[in-house]
Amino acid sequence: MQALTVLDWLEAQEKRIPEKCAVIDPEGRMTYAALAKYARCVGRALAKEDVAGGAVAIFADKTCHTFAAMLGVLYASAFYSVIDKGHPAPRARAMVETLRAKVILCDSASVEQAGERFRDMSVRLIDLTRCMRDNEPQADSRTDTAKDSRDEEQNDPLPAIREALTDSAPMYCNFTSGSTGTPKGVLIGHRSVTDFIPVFTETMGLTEQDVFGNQAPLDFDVSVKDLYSALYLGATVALIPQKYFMNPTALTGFLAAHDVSILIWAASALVVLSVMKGLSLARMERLRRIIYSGEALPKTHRMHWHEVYPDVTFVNAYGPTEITCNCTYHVLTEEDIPADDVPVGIAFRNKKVFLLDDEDRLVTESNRQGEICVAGTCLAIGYLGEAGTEAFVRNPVNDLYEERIYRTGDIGRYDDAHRLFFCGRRDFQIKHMGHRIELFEIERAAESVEGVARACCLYDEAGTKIVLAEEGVADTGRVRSALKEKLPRYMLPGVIRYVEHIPLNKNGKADRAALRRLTGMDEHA
Amino acid sequence: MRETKEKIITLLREINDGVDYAKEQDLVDDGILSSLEVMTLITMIEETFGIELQPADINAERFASVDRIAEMIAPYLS
Repeated sequence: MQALTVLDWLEAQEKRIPEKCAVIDPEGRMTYAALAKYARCVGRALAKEDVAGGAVAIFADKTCHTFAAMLGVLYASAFYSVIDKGHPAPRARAMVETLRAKVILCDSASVEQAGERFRDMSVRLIDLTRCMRDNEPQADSRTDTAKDSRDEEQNDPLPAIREALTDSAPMYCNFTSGSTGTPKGVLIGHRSVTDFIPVFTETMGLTEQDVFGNQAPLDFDVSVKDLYSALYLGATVALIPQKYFMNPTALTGFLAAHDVSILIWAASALVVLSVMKGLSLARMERLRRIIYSGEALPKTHRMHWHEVYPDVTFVNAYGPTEITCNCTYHVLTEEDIPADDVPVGIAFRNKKVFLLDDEDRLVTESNRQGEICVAGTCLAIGYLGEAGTEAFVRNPVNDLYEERIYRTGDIGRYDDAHRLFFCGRRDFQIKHMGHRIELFEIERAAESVEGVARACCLYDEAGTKIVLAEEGVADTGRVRSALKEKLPRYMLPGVIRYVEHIPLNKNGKADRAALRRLTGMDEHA
Repeated sequence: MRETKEKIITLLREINDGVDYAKEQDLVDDGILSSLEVMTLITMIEETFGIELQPADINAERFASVDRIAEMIAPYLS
């Protein structure tokens, strides 16, 4: 029978390979049996909180136990949303409010911080570490699994909860920058994941013997590919702590020690490792495939990685969170390594990817640009609340029935071989350090700083820098400190410029071209 | 040493202005420098001072403050 949720995969591996290592972090590891058991501990604790159908927020470090907690939320028929511990308090609070989460799961390392951050909110904090310890399997459980599972079955609320779950229900919510000034929660259903992961693993040639070196934070959907590919195949995922990316010796040591064979990384993380000289440190002897996404991998870095790992296959994957991980991919050939531009390629099976021009007509010919649109099971349920619903629309070229599509806002073109190339954005969204950012969101945050009359944000592509111009506050240091309280770090402008007047065009909007000249940025950059 | 430090501060200001770099003691852990910014700084240091940092020297602790960065690159300059 087809899997309804990823829990079916978890339980299949628990039966088939209970002793195999499922997940590793620097502090320890968990077998499939332990992962499933801990997940059910969390599920039972949550069952008492009446969370089914709603959101459970997770405020914890990236560890084996946090992965178990995510699965535990699914056992309780709720959906999870991981909140980055580094987010400023107002942003984290806004997320929990948007989610209407009744419960926040924290590990013991985060519980104090969570208490402070979510003070006065009507939300219950559950200490994951304690909740798992209280339900920890007996030391002799391995020799007496029959008794153990009998204990587990007594008065277990989970089977009934599970019975009522359908695969159209939400599984997780990831937040992305919103043009209205508040982050948007993208809601992904179970079906989208159980549909995509088998296609992904097969297309990428991933196997049970693989070890995935997980780079992406758990609130990024790049990690969905690591975690659930491992679960589906019965492979192993090694969770790399974020701080290792500042310490290449620790990072490469960890990757080599755990025989990592697959890297599914943001392109920016590959760049970090190569610039930080990680490629000349401990070698990943088993590395055989690198699947990167998020943005283009610059030629020099492509060549550097290829030089050090000549036998590794590189894959460029493309797609926004709203279509569940990726919708297209391209396996790099020898000629692609030094090429100026690498295609994002062709669609994954069961994902429909097409281009619409400015008049909403289908673009089929090569070298004409259009907006990249996607349809299929992979589409998100939508956004939490009502934000940004104009992106999920009826397909304008299908007048026969209502076919729902997602307009990515990305511009693409086909080459003569009908491979898709990414050509930029149609709006003010940018990709900076692997993050999707609406420049509007930074402008709204800046305009909420006391004294700032007007703000306009530009992106300096050449210097990969966010530049904010503001009128009203001459002390830009004060604007910077205020922004730190409102925005996550990756959204903080690298440069804040005070200008007496932001130039306006005849429609009364900020004249970005004039502002580029005024701030000394190349007009054509 | 003082000149080195001043040069480092100039580079840091190019990455992220509006920070009192002479005072900050934990640039990385306090979130003033991201991994991408550390990376940019490495490239800038190598270009400005005409040196090539060894992989073993590159870790977060050595980028904690202007003093630490100056200490790290001092052996390359002598």
